[in-house]
Amino acid sequence: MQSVLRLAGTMLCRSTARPCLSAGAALCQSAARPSPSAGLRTSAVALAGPVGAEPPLELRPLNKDRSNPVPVETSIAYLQSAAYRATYGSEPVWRSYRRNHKGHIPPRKTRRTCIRGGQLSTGNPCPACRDEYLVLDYRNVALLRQFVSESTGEILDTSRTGLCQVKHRELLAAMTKAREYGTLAFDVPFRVYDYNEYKPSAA
Amino acid sequence: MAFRRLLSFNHVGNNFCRKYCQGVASRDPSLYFFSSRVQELLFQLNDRQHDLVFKPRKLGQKLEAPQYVFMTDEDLDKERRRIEQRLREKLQVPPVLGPRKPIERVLAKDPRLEGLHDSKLLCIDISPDLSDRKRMITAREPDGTLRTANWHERGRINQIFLPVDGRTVTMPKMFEEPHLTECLDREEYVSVLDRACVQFEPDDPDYIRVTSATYDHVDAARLYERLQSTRHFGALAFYLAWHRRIDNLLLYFIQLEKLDQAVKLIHLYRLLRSAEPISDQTPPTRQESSQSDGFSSSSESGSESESSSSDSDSDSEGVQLDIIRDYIENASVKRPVLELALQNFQHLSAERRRVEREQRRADGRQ
Repeated sequence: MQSVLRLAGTMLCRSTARPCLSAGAALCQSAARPSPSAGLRTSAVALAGPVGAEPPLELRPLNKDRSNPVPVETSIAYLQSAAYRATYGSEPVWRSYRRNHKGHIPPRKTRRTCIRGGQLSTGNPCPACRDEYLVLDYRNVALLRQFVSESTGEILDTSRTGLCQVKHRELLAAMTKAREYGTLAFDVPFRVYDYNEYKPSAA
Repeated sequence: MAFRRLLSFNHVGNNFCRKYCQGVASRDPSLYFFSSRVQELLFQLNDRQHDLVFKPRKLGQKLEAPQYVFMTDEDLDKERRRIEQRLREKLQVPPVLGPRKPIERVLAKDPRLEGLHDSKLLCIDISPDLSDRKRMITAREPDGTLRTANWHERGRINQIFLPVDGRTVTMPKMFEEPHLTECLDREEYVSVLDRACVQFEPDDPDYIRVTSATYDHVDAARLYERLQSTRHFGALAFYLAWHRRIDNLLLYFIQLEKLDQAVKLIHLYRLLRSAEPISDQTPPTRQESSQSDGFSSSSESGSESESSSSDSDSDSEGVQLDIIRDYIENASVKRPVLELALQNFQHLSAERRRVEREQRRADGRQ
């Protein structure tokens, strides 16, 4: 069994074995090194970072356990961290993901869920399931914004993001809450007033 | 601050008039707001940058490619006039009204109906050609009383049966504390105000609370440019002039060297201070925007009207400076700061004129 998550897409060659979370610049000290046959991996130079900066990021083996959900504050910190930047760069988290399917037309719906019994139960899990530090919450605005179209303000469909159905529904719930609490700014229709309805009646 | 205390939106019978009932008497801002003179001033105070006014809203609609059209001069003039008309529509200021009064009225009492239903029944007339504010909505209480519905019930039932796009049946939590303060601290003023316009009626006490909190925050942070070229700048200017707190905005205009805007703001302030509500009987004059009548008088005689275009810039600037100085001396709260800003402006413009003169002399020699 591979100790390293292998991504189907070739564009992003840095996410195969994800670097540790560095929330608050603390590193997890996992010792196992990925095998030479692990395939695409993040370059050690990219991970090392500038000299004299934060301690270099490490690769760690894939963690399939999803029984302990990560708190949203950790996720918010993760999105600002060097580990996130090294993994995803400035692109949305779903950009590098490619679904595996038969034929050149993908099925209309993505899979129902990637997580069964508290564990990742699929190869090639969706962008939100594969990284346990991406929590879809109404307070995690930096992540939610990645799933909103820049030009039309719509929530992107699973055909673009590749999220499994359960995570997509979580995303929709998080968006609804974000609009309710006002954490995510969005446009509303322009209201035209008929002044005659509001003018005081002639005294 | 007192106005930021959490209010339950079930304040059916409360006449919450804290914001607009300040001052000597509880004056009704709607008596002044709809005057054509005030409306013209609110329009002129706006920057009116076309790029920002016509910025498209992202509402999930299908995007269309821009069209390139060949036009004759007449077509171009027609198009320009159409754009001006659309500009006015886009910059329509949300009405400023006092808080609404309760409208519950008992229509009939039928004690024999008690126990028939265990909950209140609301009835609405859903005829499509009625105004939502005037359509008949009644309530039958479990004890048999038939009464007209209160404002809260009216809002809910109207939204259920005749929904307005962008509005929710219950008030979004972003308009309650602490979420409102968090939104304002993130400086999302236009987003909050736009949503408040869609969600509430202008005389809803919650609308007045939300907009007052936003304008206060903008004024405290001096971030007036966020509201520039939006419909809310006029409402902000009206709010500040109504509550006699135009000093910060005046300072902003002086520092940006927009003396004509500063004069318009002072004129708005004076119009709103007049004891008599402004009538639309006397038509507005062109000279009105630069009047320097006495601070306490509400008469409309323009003794020093703005000079004609044949006068030099420095003359009209002098008139504007006189008006501003008159306000600073008589009515301002932050007198030293404003005087300093005015002095800086005068110094700067004198320097600029001197440099221009020397430039012209040097060019003449060449």
